[in-house]
Amino acid sequence: MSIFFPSHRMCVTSDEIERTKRLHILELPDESVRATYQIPAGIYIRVHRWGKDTEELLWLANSGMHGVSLLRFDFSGFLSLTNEAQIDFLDGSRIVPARNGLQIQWGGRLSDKSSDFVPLSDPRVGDLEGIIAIEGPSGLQAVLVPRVGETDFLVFHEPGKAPIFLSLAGVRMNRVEIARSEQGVLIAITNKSVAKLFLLSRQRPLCKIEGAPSSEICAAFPIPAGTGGVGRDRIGVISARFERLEGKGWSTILMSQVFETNGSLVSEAEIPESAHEYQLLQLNARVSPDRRWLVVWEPYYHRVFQIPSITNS
Amino acid sequence: MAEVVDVAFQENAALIVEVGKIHRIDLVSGETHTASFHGFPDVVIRERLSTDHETLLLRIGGVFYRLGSGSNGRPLLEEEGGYAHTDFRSVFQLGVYGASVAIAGQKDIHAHVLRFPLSSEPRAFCLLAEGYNLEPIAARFLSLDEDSENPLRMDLDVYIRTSCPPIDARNHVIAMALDNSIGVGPTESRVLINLNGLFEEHEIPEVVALDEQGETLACALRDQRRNATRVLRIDIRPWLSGLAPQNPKKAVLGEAKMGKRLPKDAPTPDPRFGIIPLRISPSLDWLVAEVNTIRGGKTLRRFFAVNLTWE
Repeated sequence: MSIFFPSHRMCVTSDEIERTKRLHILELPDESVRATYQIPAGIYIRVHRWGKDTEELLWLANSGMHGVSLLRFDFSGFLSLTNEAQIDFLDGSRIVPARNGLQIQWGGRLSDKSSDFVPLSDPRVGDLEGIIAIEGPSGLQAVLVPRVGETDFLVFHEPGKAPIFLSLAGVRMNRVEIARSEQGVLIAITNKSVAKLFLLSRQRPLCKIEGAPSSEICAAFPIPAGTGGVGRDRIGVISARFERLEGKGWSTILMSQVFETNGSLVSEAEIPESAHEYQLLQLNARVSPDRRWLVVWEPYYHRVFQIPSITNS
Repeated sequence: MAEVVDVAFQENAALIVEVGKIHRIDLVSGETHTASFHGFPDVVIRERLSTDHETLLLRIGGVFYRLGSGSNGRPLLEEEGGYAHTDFRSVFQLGVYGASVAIAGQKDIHAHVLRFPLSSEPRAFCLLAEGYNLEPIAARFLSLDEDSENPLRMDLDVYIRTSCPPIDARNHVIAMALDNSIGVGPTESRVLINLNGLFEEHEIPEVVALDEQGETLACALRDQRRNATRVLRIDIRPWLSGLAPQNPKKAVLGEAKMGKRLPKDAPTPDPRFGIIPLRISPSLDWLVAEVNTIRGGKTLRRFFAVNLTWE
């Protein structure tokens, strides 16, 4: 189940029922589904363009009878998927279909390096769950690839470097958020027990936040310096906190927290209207790029919450 | 019971094919005739030549047979020698061979092709599945532009009934009943939009048919609680623009009145089972359905046609 934000007013969620892939369109902050589409099978590609920080472009890598093809989503009017030869970036870099996968061509140069190849399936590193491409002022900066297998990885592809495999159980496309700071691209990655903040191109995380007891982390997101007048990069964490009710089971409330990179808690607030009388485990959730909305999407439970304003710009 | 394969409307008759038998109901006199055949059709082509003339081609044992009617009103299967080797060949190879390998390995895949030669491209739609089933099953749906070098347009995994596939195309629009929803879209598109919020949770869309303009949709809904069927006319234009209406029920233009039933001796549906709608005619004025009755502990299947009138 994937969640995307094609514009600051639109959220797109995707699920699969009985092998058919569906895509739902929501107009934020409205929780009701505006339209549901049946779409082809494939792997989602989320593209973060330079200068368009609140718009995620969406593509689909579709493996059909004629090999892998790239389909570009256009959400204006009736949803259209256009077949394109490649995804182009400012510096001429490209992502192109290749046999059983996708090839990253840094600077538009053809390369025979296997490290720039992203296979759809690889028995050594698991199946491709999604692709996140990040463009900077001078072109394609990085391609992040969550892979799901016996061990889950987030693979960092950067120009001129060997790919870096970060092992983190439960990492998914939904659990990788980016934001741009003066220092560079901030990347927050989480699973249900830990959230990490990275600066792109640096291997060591800026900080690592452990989840509190009786809680699960649902989402983590970078808060770049300048947000709310604070001159330091920080990390926001959304957790589901569970409480045992007397004579009953567990209840859930969603919490929003902000941490400094030294791990100290800056603020904490309950997300309004998020109390739930059951235990909501392993929620699929994402925070919108403008850090205003939390979208939770489960097969039988979907909500849009407003995140307390302390994290907003 | 033998699987129901498909229904075609030919001038003033409805032809119903089940494995091993063909039934013809004359829609003027109400007379019925049945003929038998041997073998199992692994490819079915439903072709609409005009609004009141459809034909069915069945591939049995590697040979195509065209469904027709004899002078006495009896249904006939006539060998269609050249068909597989002419304009249909490319579709067949791509749709059946290529995709069957892609979707189900070595399992037997049946291809159900719907062709609309009078329509603009794409004119052929192909449903690939493991057999004919009146309950929805997993299938692969392809729309094919036969004249193009790269003929594949829509390529969707769908959950759909594969007996009498509830799929129709008119004037660049395609519609299909999917599990508990209806999907519509421009034929050149790669996606379908679901018509959500139109009917009750316990109602299942069984059959769809588009009007000539591709603007309204007739849809037979079966109420699972009461085993009753109603046929609605829906204005689908808001969905085709990509904007599902805020109040979808306002898009319902009316409900068909069910009138004359043929043959005249068609059994009254048992309220425990109701009827199973199979197809609505391209002119939207007939619904062919199956009715099951129990006699002496045995389930007996009959087919009938009911006249639809729209207010």
